[in-house]
Amino acid sequence: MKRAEQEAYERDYAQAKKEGKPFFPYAIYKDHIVAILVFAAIIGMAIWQRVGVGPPVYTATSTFEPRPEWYFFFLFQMLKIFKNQNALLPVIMATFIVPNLLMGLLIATPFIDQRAERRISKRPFALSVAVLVFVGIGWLTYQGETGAVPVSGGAITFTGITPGSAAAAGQTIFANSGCTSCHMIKGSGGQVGPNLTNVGTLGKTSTYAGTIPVKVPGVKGPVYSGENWFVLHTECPTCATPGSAMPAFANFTAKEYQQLATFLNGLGTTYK
Amino acid sequence: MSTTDIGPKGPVGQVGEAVVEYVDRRAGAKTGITWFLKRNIPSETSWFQTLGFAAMATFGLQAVTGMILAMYYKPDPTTAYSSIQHITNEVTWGWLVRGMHKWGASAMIILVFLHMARVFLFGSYKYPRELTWVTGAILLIMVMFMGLTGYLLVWDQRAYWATVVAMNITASAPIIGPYIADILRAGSNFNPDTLSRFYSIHMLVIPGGIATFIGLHLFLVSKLGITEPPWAKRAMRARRAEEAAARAAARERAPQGRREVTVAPATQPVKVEAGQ
Amino acid sequence: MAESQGNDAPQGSSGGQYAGPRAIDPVQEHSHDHDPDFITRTKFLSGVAVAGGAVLTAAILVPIAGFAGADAVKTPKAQWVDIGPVSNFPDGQTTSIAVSGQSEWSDARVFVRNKDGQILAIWNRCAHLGCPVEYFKGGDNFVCPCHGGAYNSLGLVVAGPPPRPLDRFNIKVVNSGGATVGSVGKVHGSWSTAGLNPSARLLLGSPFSIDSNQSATRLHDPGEPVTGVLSNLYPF
Repeated sequence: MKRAEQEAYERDYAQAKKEGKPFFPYAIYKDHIVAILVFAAIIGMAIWQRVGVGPPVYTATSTFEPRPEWYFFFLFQMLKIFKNQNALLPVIMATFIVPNLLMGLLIATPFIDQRAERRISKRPFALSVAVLVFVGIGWLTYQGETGAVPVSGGAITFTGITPGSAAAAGQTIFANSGCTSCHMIKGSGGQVGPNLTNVGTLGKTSTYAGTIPVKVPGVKGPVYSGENWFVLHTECPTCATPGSAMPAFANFTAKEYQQLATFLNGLGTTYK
Repeated sequence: MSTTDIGPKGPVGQVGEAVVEYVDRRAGAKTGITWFLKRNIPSETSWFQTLGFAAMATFGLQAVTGMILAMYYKPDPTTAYSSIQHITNEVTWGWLVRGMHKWGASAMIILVFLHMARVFLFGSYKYPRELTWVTGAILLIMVMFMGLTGYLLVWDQRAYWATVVAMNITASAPIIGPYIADILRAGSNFNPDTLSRFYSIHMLVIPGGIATFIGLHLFLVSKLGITEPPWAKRAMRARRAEEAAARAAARERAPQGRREVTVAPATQPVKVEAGQ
Repeated sequence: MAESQGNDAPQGSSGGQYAGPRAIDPVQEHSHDHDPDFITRTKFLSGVAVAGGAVLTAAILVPIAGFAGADAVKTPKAQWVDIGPVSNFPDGQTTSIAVSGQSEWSDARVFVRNKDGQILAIWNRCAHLGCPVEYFKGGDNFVCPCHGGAYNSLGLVVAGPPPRPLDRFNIKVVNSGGATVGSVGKVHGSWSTAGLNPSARLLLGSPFSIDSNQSATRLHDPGEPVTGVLSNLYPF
């Protein structure tokens, strides 16, 4: 701000104070009322939603999925955006570069914006930055909240699956092989790979002329569709979907591949 | 107090007045407190400007509930979890104090973000309040770190693993990252010293910093005054008056309507415009 | 007799021949503040105050820095921990065990992979951000629940954000007398199973990091690549 603008502000503010009212009580009564409301909310939540403890620390776990407190979800979600896809987007973008950049810009705000105008209607850049930052952080926080925790153990129930059937066995294999770490079904699971809740309705077909790692009776190329497509994709993801990042699961028995394929092929059609 | 000085006070009033006089003669308290309480602020302040006080009050709540929790909490990996269970289940109103502290932490984060948004949208960070903003930004960062360090103290699976990942994120910073993470963790992996280190940081190091910066922040706010909302009617009136005065001055400079009268230098013959 | 033209003014120095101190002048105290070679009492005591302040600050900060920092950045010593007889880790399988009592890495989960004629001990600490990685028999792979990082049977990265493979532990095999038996396997940190007595004890040592060719390097924190341009960000 130029000197003239600064002095104009000082004069204007002095006039505002002259026409103003004393801090006590005209400001402090408002502060106290709002603070009482805040305390009432805190105490109310403490009574209504009691705070517990989770399971005790077990450092040798291999099944626990770490999650931060809710107010760090927006940083946590950035890790899902900057996933080391290439040399320009290393992990330190999300862990170091972007957070420090934001903090630096935050501290430097008054030195970046030196205009005298205070009305938000006349500060379009500031308004758009504020909206962008708050909507961005809010949306990332919401994404972090709903990024569901993978359920490993088959606790999801499907209508249409009878116990002891091939599909039930397929669901158990799905739950016990780490599939939910990357795939979501019925709202539970990771978001690294596609959501498989209705994958059976997609009618996937692929052409692959090579030999597949594990021979499963009834499954032969070069065109794979229906259950056969799922067998192909499980054994050799890049054969069914070129460029897929899914690791190959080439260690099941032929029966397990069939059961898994029955389960997957019915998702969205028979099993909901 | 002028309207209440209507006569001699009773004994309680006299003792009260004597105490105030005593302190004031030695500490000048009356002048200071009167200045602080009776200073003028703009008359049209918005309710959104109460968020800063609410954040500070919540910090006070956290400090007091934290002090009480610290009387029962045991910062050792073998006893931390059971001390938390003891607080929650056995200590009278322990569940309430712990709940207030936990929910107060979330409230604190929300309030400081809202307060920051309010200051940004009002443009209150501009001259002369730049340093107030800088101290506030540093306070925001310190409050986030309080959340991070406090979360670990429960020492359950959620707390432990969330902090493991957070420390690894710190370690991923270039060159000095591993060292900072090692110092925070008291080692290259989580160990018993990590918990007590986080406890000390959460209870003493960062609160000391927050108290210092709140002091600076409040000093600056009191000295520089509370801002007036940019849409305040008085401000608009002043602006309109100023614009009207500027227009009047411009009219005065050009009395013949829009054309300005220029007087040519005396060495040249004066040109007379047709129809003037 | 000197001419007394300008001698009336008490501070006379205009036009007169003699400009030095005269008996009639008041005694002036010289201020030596701007004289760099002259040490006044004030200057000396100011120096003492500043230097004393520096000493006080150092007296507090140096022990603190040592106390809080030095142990933290020391590399810890690991001992060899007995994790059971070789027969506990059958051929063709990856066995998951919890190891405790090994200095700072107490209660670590280790996957002991016995395949292709050698034993490997793989740490379940994901190389991306340190989340616990799970082993899945069906796919013979490791998957991290945090961001979907996937590793193959050897711990090499096949999908997701991890910048390097899973870390491994040094291992050796000793007989009941404590003498080392057998030999090191084809890669660093592995042990050949050829001719091993099933009751020989497997010992777990300190961890180390590997690159995608299974070459060993010093232990890195999660998130640090060991090859490529970005590995230069972590020189220590």
